[in-house]
Amino acid sequence: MGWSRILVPVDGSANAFKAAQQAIDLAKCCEAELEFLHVVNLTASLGIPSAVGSKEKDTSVLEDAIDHGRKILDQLLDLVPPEVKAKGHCVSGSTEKVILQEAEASRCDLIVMGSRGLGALRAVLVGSISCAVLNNASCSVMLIKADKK
Amino acid sequence: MGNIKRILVPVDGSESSDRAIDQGISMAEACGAKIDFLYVANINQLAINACLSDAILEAVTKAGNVILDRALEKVPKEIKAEAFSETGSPAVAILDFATAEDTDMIIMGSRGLGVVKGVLLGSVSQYIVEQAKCPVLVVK
Repeated sequence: MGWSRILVPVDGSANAFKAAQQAIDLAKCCEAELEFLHVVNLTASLGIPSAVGSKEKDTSVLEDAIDHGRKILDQLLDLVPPEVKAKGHCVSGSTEKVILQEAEASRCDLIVMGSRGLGALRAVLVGSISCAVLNNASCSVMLIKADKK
Repeated sequence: MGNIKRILVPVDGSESSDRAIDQGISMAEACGAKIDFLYVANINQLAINACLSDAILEAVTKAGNVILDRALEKVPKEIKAEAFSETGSPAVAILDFATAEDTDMIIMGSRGLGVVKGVLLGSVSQYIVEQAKCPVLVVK
């Protein structure tokens, strides 16, 4: 019944946190496994093409970003009750591509994510990443809306 | 999932909406929630008043009832479910219903009957995803 593997892309935004909580609740009810995913997209955040990651300076930037992502994932994994299986991945690359690839690779049957994350403008109702995932994922997608302000 | 008490599943008889019914039932089972099925007959109220004959209106209503009955039949006895039927623009009617009934989650197909092949996300789903205040599960 229901879902067996839930992918939860997170970026550290409040909305992603809300989505993670919803996913944890759902996993508890369906006895599903959780997979948190944080994508480090240096191209988007710093304007550095990820291909130039070989330089020493860039590598340290990447390492910092991955450390930061790990912290976000650890915070979420701490929230997961012991009876729910969960793991966290931190991957570098283009955010929507990585999410879609990971969804295929892990054969998840549901993606739970915030309707917009850190990158989106306030006025945007659905962020570009959520929109791309919603359009291109082969599994069902649950979008969690930001709190009304 | 104690916070999810009412799940809205808009239906239009498409394959995509059939899958949404199945996932809606799974979700209701998981949360102990009630399911509201909503069928929206896409006819303009003015057109009804002006020129639609009762016969046409009756036919449309009947088609909607068949879809709703089929949805209700799928629901196991222990889950509460109710069917509703509205006329008007589907996107607007769905959103109005969700607001009026304090829906906690909307579960719907990614594209319904109205969509041109090749379009990934139908216009109704797109509108609901953007405008709804509650979580929206789009079923592929």
